[in-house]
Amino acid sequence: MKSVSILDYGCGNILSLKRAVMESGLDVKFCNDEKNLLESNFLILPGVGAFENAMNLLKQSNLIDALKEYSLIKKKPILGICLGMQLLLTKSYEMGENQGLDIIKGANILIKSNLKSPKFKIPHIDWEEIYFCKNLLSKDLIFKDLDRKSFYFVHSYMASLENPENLVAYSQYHDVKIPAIIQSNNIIGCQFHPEKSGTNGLKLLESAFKLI
Amino acid sequence: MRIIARLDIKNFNLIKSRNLEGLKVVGNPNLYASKYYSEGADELIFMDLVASLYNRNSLYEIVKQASKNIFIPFTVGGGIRSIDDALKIFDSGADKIAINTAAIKDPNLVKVLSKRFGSQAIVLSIEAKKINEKKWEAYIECGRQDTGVDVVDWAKKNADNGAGEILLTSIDQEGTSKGFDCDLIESVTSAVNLPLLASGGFGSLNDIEKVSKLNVDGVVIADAIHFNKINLHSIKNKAKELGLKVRNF
Repeated sequence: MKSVSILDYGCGNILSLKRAVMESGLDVKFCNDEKNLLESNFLILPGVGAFENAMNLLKQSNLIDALKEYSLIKKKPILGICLGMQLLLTKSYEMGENQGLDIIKGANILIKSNLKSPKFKIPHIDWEEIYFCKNLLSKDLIFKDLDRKSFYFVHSYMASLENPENLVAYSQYHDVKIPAIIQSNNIIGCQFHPEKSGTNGLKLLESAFKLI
Repeated sequence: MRIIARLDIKNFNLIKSRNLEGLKVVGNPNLYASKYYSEGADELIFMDLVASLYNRNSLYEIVKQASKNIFIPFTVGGGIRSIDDALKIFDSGADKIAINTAAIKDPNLVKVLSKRFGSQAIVLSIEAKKINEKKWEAYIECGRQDTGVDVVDWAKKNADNGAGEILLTSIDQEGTSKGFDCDLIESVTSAVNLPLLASGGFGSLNDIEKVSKLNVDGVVIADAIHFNKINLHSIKNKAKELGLKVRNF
């Protein structure tokens, strides 16, 4: 039977995530060691909180090399959510500079506006519509039904990608274009929380599982 | 503008409160939570009104149950005093925790919690009571205990300490359906640049209009929906009419 593994490294609300995955009718396993990680058919990398803390937890559990092997060498499907997406990047500037997993090239940077509106607030906590990059909508893309649907964002930092082709969809927060979904073949990241985005979020997860 | 349903809990029941005093049992909180999810609530707040007073917590079970079939964010508050308490709440399925009494008693708590869980997960809950024309005092223990702490100063201090959001409840308006305390909201939003949720007093669609002119990120609604006086659908429609950004549900 098809199953989805959620990496349980002590960082994230994995109960809600498990429940949301189960809505797709798939089996869910938690994994927290190298062997089970590498044997996964589809891996979710969750995460809330601070970047450095999360990287330290991954290091302590000896999971960093396994994550790279899983996604870059074995090329199996992985979905990073929120901080989990940010961890996929090369580095982060949250509370000093820290190295990330470097699975997708880019940096995790503070959301910054040039407009000085009092309505621009950090953390950015809101439901936002996401817009798919135009060149992608014509292609056979698993998520494209979700164009202009709303998802729940809660974050202070965002991805700044080295390769613009890794951007699949974005949302607009004042003058800032926030990467909402990033992808490089089998590697996907979303800044919002699909497990907290109602039926649209469940649909996104279901679509991602087509990669299994 | 987020439209947020607030469920005040006493033991295992959803209750109606007035001025944060629990008045009577409304029903099973999980049934109401599911209903609000299907009607398009953007978020739920579960607040245990007695946890902090009697040092107990029936919330875990309610939140765990809710996370089985509700896929929107939950903020949970009541009786959270430490990293361990917070962990238990997060493990039950909460996305954010609301802190009031314990933050006043231990002014370092917000800093400690936001460092461990990230600012985005820490909501500073302020229960404000008007003491004169432009001054409000922060209360704890569900509006029972005064603290001598000025609401605006307290909000600023905790914004610096890493709180990620403010849940601002007017004790005077709470449960009265007489409208939000707009002066209170304005005095906090002009001092602190954090997302702010206005709570206490929602009674009619006009209240959405009044609050829409303020720099508010969410409105928190309880009695009006518990007793079916106004449904979430018409509240969201009103917000849309006013040109506010509303979740595309």
